[in-house]
Amino acid sequence: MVPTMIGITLLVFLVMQLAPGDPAALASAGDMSSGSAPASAGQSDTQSAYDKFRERFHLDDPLHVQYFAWLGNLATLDFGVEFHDPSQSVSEELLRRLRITVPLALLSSLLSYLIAIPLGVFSAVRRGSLADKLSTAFVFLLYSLPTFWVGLMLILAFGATGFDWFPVIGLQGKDAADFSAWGKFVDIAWHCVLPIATMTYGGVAYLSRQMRAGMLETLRQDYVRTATAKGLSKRAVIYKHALRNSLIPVITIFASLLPILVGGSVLIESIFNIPGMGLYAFEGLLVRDYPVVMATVTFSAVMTLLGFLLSDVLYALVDPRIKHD
Amino acid sequence: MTDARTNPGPPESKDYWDLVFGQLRRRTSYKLGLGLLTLLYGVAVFAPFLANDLPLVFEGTRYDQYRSAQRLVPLISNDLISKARQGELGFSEWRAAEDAKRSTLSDGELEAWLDRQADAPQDLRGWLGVDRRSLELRLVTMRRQLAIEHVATLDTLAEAADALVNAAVSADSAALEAQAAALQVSADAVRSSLRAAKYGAEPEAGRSVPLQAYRSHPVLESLGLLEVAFMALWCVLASLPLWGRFVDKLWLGGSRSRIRAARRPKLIAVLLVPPIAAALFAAVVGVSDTELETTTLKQALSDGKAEAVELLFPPLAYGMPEQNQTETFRPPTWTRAAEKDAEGYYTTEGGSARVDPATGIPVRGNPVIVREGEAELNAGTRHMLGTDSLGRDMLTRMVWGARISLSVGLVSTVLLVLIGILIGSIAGYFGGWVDSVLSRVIEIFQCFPVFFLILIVVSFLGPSILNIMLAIGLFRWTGVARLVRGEFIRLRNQEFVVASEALGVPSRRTIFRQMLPNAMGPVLVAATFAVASGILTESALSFLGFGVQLPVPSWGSLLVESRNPEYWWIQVFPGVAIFVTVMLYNLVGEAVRDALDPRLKEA
Repeated sequence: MVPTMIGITLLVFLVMQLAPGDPAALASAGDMSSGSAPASAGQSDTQSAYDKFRERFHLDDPLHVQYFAWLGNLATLDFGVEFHDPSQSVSEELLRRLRITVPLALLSSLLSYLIAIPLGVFSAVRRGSLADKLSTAFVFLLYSLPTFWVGLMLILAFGATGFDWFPVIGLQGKDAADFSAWGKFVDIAWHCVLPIATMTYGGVAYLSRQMRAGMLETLRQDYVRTATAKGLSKRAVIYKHALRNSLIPVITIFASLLPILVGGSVLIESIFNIPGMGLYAFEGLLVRDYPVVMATVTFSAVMTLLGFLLSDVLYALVDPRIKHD
Repeated sequence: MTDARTNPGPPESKDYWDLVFGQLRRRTSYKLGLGLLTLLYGVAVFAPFLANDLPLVFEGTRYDQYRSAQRLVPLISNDLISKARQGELGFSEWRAAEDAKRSTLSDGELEAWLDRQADAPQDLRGWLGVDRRSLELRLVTMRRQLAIEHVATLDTLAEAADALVNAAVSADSAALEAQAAALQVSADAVRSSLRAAKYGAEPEAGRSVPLQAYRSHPVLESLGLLEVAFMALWCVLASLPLWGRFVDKLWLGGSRSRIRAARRPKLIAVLLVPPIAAALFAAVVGVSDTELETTTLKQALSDGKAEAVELLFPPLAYGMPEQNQTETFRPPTWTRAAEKDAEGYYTTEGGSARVDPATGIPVRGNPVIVREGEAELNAGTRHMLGTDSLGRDMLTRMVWGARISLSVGLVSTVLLVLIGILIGSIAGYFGGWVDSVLSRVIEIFQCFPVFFLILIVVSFLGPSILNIMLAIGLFRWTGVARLVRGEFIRLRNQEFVVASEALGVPSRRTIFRQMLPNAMGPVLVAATFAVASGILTESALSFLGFGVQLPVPSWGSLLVESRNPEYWWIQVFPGVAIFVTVMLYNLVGEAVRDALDPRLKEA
């Protein structure tokens, strides 16, 4: 756990050293063009801004000093301030962004489970039937669709040029401030439909395949045969004996699914222009705001690590046999 | 091992791969997926024959090329004469001038300069040779369109030029002047008497000559050696089911052990075909940098500067970069929305487009240019998938784009499989602390949002096809490494490995020759899925603006040429191509996985 954590930070730090150019030059030039310094101030002001910037972000220190300073800040969950807006703490902004990304991810994984489990069970119970073949083929097609293309196609079909059912940009309408509480809720819900559909379809495809395979495996077990032999109804066999056992692996997937949803939101959030963590990371990358990029990557890596841990714990919780091993 | 030729014996045992391929042959999804993928790679490899503004066959005359050559021959001759008169002195002056340029160049220009110096002339003969070659190119262009009696003038000119060069090199000033005069006479003759007669008009004796039709295969001549090699490779691999069975049954007598022994020679034979084909091509057709295109043949035909007796265009008569400013963003021509009238207005717009909405002044129409070889203005096949912002045919660009998309998938997969095998086998074979360290590294990589990490690296290193392949390879190897490690741990204590060690076989050989072949099954499955994921990753990178920046586009970069929903065809069709390719790879991957894992077969 701890060595992996250190490895993660080291890798992030090393990858960031690949960055071309000088962030200080970029940032001080940006200050000039944004008009914060008078244009006539000339070379010496730019130079001093540049020096100040380097000093402020410790860019002149040796690499290992920079690394340990960064690591020390990390330990207190301090990701520093944004290059482009030093008054903005990265941690605060990240937290604000997470308040958008995490609920979306939770909602979409909940939906995935709600659709995928019945679909997988249905498919497994009627193995070989036409319905099973159709649903397997459908899920297979879903599985191969490129995420960003699905987003684009949904925008084409349901956006302004198509049926015009859903808004396609952002999370709130233009005059959201004037809405009542209920109106705001409806507005946001309406905006969320397409992004959540884009986030959910992949999970449905993946989970329902897992569910179908797990269910088929369980249906072959001796205890299921015993349950059938002792005269239980098919319904009881499937829902009481088989389903509960085949849910175990699928539920433990949840822990590793959530970080993937949070981390993989770069594409979806930039398609729908949702100001979540993915867009924050992507925009940070575009303007070369390294503290932002480092913070988001480190954060999602650590989240994934915790997800793996949670997955192990969940496994032991839902399946008591694990403890006796 | 029993020898099958002398002792047929009991039915021969099947090895691992016999079983796997036996299973695979029975699966329709595998055969269908692999067949369609082969077709797709065929499209990518044979793109020049499918979509090109060069015709496959051309028989006719090219007035534009002839005229340009006929004008240039006297000029180049004069240049050659004056350089020959300068002799050694002229060459060293030129050399000094080139070297002096060096100090004034910027870094970027310096690179181009160094490139140029790599094949710059080294002595006087080389220096004159540049002009001599340039002269020869024009002479070839003229010769093939002239009747025998006129060719004689050109031959005299070529002989005089050669003699002039020789005289200049040997510093024989008398001969030099004589040859210069001879060359001057021939050049004047070319200038005054070898003009091309107008098409259909009678030539004026002593002034102009009739041009004769010549026959050429422009597409074939435009191919590079690498392209030819890949075409040959594709042909060999695509016909494998045919000749493979033939060789196995008839030549090897259907004996398993002999078939197994022949695997390696077969592989070598297959790998030998592409270089042989390329060498043959170079010998027969020649590598063409000789074609002097002033305008493309298609343009020349449309402008009436070339006349064709026989002309055969590829199915899509558009060049990959060929623009048409008169039909930008035209919808697929089989839709009603794409219908245009003779003045270039969309018919569905009615009269509204004919008047400027602001001023009410009628706007002049912009009639669509329909070039030679293209389908008619409103034919459904004109632009089956529409055109982009520069009026380039989308289908043509997708055919060429398949080359980039498919090769990114393949190359990145080869890379990640190699890294994965190396790390996984070392971890699994040596165990102990080596394994713990490498497992930790794998774990670290697995924690990262890989796509974002690839995005970061590509954005730092600059978006190029090579960097994308590298980034995918460097961050996606963990899956393969874990599989190989697992297989190696399983195989580690099996008898054949223990025996191999006991015999003192070096561990490198044990790993790669004994254990690896037995661990390749899961790797094969993972690799198939990895190609699909590589294609997806490349297209997603292109979508975010970090895609390949090449003259040849990838499907992903085609898709982002316009985000305007009005131009739906630009977003829809490249996406369909990506989707279908990914689906086919997944289909094949699943079939292979099921064949390798009989336990899953029933599922």
